[in-house]
Amino acid sequence: MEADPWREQFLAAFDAFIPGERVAGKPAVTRPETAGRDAAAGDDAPAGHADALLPGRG
Amino acid sequence: MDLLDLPYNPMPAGGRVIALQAEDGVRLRAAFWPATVPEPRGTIAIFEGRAEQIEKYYETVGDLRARGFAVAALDWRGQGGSDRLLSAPRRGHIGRFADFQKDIRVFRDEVVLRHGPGPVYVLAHSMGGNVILTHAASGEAGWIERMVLTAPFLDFGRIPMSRGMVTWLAATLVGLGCGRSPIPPVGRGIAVVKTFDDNPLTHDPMRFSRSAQLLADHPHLAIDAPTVGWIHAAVRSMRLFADPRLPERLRTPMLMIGSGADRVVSTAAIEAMAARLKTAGYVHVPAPATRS
Repeated sequence: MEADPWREQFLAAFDAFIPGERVAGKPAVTRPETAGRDAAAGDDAPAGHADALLPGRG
Repeated sequence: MDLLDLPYNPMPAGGRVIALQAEDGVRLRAAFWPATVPEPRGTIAIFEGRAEQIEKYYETVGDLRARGFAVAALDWRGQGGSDRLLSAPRRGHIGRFADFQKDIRVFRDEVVLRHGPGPVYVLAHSMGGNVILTHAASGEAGWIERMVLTAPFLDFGRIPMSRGMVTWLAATLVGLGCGRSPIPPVGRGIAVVKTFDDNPLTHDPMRFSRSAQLLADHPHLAIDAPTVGWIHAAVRSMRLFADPRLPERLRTPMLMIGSGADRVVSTAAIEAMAARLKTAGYVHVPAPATRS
């Protein structure tokens, strides 16, 4: 299976957050400028719900 | 019960299926893969989304084991290889989301904590994120070290009517005895995927084809659109997320990941939830500029 840029982002976030050892405290928050919008009505962006992980149905 | 091992979707080596029975008698399919390293980093418990099945996560299972984790996965009641709740097996039905907590409990006790090395981390997608958040808010999440929630279902994404109308309509139809009926056609477009071109789930044609082929070849693993009762139960599950005391009840560190072009769940609701919680972080995966 080919590399997928959105899947790669998921795995990078996963690796940064899951340390594999017991930790305490609030994790760092990443908040890119693109955050905070739902797909707008009429937006023809084709996909997204499972792009971070796998094709899913919800 | 078994796990499919297919040329186009090979099962990661060393895994086994585990048959469970929830406290109310519903039979569930679970799976466990041991770590491939002598000193595992812990166990990842996977909680899938609505209408998914363990086989869809094989690629992810491989990714997680390559990182040194053991992996456990569960098919929720009513889907995948677990018992259906209606005589019409393709209908995606649940009477109340609280019933999923029974699935978590037996999976936790009989699979994750029995076979998996600690610490335990959760990876939950969509509806799975909704259910595990509810579990954590109930005070039962002491067994979970951290959680990663991809596109958790906290609210509907793009739907053809307001949430208030959905709430009223679902309650009315359930009151009229239609809870086990499929949702009206106007709402099915977001829930039933027929072709890649109109799918709201992924931009990746290869992974889309793999999942579509799996369900075409093995339709017993598939379910279709949710029932009216499922929608009613989903709306009721969302009441918790509006509770102003929720941040006090959710103490488990978690990372939420939202997708920029998501039409199934509300990315804005996910980001807002992450901002409310003391222990949550948020990562946004932007929408693709063009289809690849």
